[in-house]
Amino acid sequence: MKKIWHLIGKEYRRLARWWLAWWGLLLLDSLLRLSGLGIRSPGVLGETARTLETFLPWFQLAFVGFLIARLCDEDTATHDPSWSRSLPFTWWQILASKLLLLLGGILLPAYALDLCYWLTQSLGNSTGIATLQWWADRLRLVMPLLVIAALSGNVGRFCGGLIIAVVMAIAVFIGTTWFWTEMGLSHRFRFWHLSDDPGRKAIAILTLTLGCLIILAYQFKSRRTRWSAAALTGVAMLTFTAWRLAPHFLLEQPESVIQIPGKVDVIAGPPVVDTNSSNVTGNGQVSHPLIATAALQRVSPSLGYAVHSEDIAITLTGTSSLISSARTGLWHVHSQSPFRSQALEPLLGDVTLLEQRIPHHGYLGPIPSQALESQPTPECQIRGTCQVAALEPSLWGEIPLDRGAAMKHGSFRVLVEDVDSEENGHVTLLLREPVLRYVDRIRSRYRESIYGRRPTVVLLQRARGIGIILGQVEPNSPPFDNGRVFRNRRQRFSLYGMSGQNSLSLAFVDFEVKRFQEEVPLETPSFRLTTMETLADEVKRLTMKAVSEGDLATILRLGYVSKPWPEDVREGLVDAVTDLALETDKAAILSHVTPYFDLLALIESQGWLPEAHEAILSEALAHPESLSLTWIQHLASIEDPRAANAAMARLAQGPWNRQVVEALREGFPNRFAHQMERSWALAKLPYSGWPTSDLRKRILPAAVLAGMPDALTTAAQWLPEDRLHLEENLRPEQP
Amino acid sequence: MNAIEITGLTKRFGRQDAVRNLDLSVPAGSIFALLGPNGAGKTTTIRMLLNQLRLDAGEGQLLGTPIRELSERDFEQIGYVTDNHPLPDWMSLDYLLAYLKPLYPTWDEALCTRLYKLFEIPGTAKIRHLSRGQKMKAALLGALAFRPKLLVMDEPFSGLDPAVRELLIKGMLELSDSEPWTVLISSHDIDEIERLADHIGILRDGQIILTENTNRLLERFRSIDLSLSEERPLHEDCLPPTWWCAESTRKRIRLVDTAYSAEATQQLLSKHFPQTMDASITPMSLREIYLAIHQHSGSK
Repeated sequence: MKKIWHLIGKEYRRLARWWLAWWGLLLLDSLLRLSGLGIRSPGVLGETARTLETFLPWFQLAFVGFLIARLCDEDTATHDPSWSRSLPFTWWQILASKLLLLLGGILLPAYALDLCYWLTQSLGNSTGIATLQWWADRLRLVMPLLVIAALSGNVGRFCGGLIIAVVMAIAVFIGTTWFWTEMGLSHRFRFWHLSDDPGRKAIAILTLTLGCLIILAYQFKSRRTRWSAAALTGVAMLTFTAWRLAPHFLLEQPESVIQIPGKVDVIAGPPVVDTNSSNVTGNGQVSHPLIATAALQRVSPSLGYAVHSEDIAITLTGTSSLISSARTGLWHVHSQSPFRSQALEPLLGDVTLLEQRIPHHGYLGPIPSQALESQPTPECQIRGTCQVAALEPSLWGEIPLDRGAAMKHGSFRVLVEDVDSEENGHVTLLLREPVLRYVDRIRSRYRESIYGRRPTVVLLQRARGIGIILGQVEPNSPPFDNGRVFRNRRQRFSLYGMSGQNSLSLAFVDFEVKRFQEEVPLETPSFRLTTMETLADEVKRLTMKAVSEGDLATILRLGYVSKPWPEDVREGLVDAVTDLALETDKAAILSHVTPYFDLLALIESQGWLPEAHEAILSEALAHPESLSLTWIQHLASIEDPRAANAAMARLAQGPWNRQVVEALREGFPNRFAHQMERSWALAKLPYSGWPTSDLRKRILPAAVLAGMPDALTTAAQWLPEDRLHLEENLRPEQP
Repeated sequence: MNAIEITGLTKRFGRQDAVRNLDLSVPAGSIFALLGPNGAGKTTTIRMLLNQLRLDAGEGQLLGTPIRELSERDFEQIGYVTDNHPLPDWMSLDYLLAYLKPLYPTWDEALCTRLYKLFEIPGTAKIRHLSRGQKMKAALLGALAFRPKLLVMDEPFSGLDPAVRELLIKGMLELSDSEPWTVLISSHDIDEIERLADHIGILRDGQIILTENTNRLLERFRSIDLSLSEERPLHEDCLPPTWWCAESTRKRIRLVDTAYSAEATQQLLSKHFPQTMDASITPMSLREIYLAIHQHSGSK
């Protein structure tokens, strides 16, 4: 042991500056996290901190690789001449010293700083699983790096070895997948996803770590580099195989079993429309005729499936929970390719697709009620059976289970997230486990459809092993503390909470559920949870009720509305305030209306406009482009020159549609003609400062409506291809 | 008692035999020089001896321990100086010595100080800043200071100036005077070897072609220069096998007698060259002997 410490001392001295640099990097990371600069600070400082936080982990990773390579470039385990080999050391003393250095120099300092961070965040009492996860993540990375470094002998060859290793890993991964697929031991789908099931991951990481240790011992003892490299390939194969095929010993048996192959009865769903496309206007009108997509409504069984043949794989994605107008369930056929469309038809058996069209892949949402009233709705024409041949891993589906259920299908764990309490928790959304790692992306992609407009709090804890919290806010309860921000080493998770009608509540946290439960009542006095389902790693269900009262005054007092929230949160917050607002809250709301233009809608609906006169004017001047038709009419009723200024700013900046232009002309006849002439003249100048020719085109309808003498002539020149667009904007309103 | 005893040592690199069926015995307490041309297998042999290269065949013992079983305890008694294994250049000499000291129970601080002064190396300078000669002196200092029972040196003198060579030899002799040790040295620098070595082994094409006590070797090799009264053709097949490298130029003949004995050589000369007018028989240096052996083995 004395000699091992002697070697360690020598290495610390040899790489002193690099150790210091590593510790400095760790310290910088911790300081950034603890200071919260990236979260709190606006401007350049905050932006710099956020950029650093983004890139620092990658830099740290590269640095760890470099350190490991340097660790192995003296007292090497290769056949290169090494002075140290003539010294009285045994192979295991050298290996042990390197492993201890890896542990003490690289991993422990990082862990210690993490622990400090956790403790300062009051998360220290239950960090067991997170700690294990932490170790596993790093071991998974560090051990292969150490083997490659030991087989390389110096930094240059380590870099080359790394490239070879990456290529080999890809080849082994593909090869292993292909092999198991051909052997019939894996899904027929050739998917490349590795399970995030903690049990499988544990086995895989254990295999990898043990394999790497054996290879290291063999290499240091015998220095047979080629054999060791071959063994490393073998270990990689074994790891991938374990990751793919190991038993799920940490998960319970599925609550529902899918029979594969099997059949699924389907009928056509009601028409849906892509809410993200521009054919739905802000006023809830549909600018283009609705196309009823062939959304299939499943009849039975109640699980999401994929359909496939030899050449094609198509996922039927459950989306009914995303569509409030079709809560009984829709399957959105997820395909854009004509080839897939053709291939889908025979697979669907006797299913006839509506209008023989495969719907495009898009964002589905409810069809606005005005549109449904004004346009005929196609009847459901599809009824048939889907042949289910295999379960596709990237499955999105639907399942009518109780809230908070967890299941596994084959190699996939599926977490069920309740999104609608009104139907007794029977409309649910499946999120496959790997997807949970990218919750932020899901949130941004399905922001409107999944999370928005529901009186529900969905607290998702990342599936990095801790669990999931499902919750629901009582109607009319105020939001809980939105201010808490958590992050792990790689990612920051903000805790958002809203309540009430049309509100959004999300939390992405990365620590143990239990601790969270303890903290919620303390930190969030205004949050009321009626239900919280906890799915821990071992998939044990816990139900807890955390109750704490709150009111709108608390929200306003805490200044929630004035914080720079992301767009979706801000909307939810305004919705919550809108729902909770009473006459007694008028003064408080009016005092916050200045930074929150959205609250003006509430003010208008409550009839508080006279009291909000100043706020309205300042907001109108600050954001003239956002002035809606209603507000233009309201500004016209105010006898204040600033109102006319704001309205003219709206006219100058656009956007211009017929109603807005007419409202401006009627509301401000004195200044309208003059402003219009100026804007029109400006638009016609070749280099007038109008950013794009596209913008110039948009003013055309306004110019025509305002009676500009050359507007029609200019329109003919500018819009030979946009005739329809122009006509549509100029078309007289239907009664 | 032999400090090194190997039989049938073989090492192949691909299809190339680097060392072939090599037998070698180095008596304890001797200074054994391993000579041979480049690529003869000297370094490979030494690396196999120290278990740094795997043996493809054969076996051997170092200080009574089988080569494959050499442990840290054995390396506490073995010093190794080579040009191929550079010292860690980030260390200073002072730190190098401080690093080595705890590793060897037999470390002799007094000897270390003495050699330190003798070699005159700057102690605080990083090894990377030392000259080649200084680095070799540092390596030798580290290898001698713990009074090894066996010192293995691989090309210690190559590229060094005479003054440094002299110092290195002085350092080695410093230790030789005080206690018996065994030295295995491989080198091309035959002049230094002649001063140091008491046993010589010559390697060629991975095989030992000669091992012998240095003095005996020097005694039995003679250079003979004959002046004949008349020109005569030289038929090497008719000459005794102990006469090598015979060359004739008109009335002169030069050859190497590898089994010199005053009386016997004289008789053989009279028998094979009766028309000899003048015969000059001179002792040979180790360099000349090595070249003769090299030439003879090459012609065979």
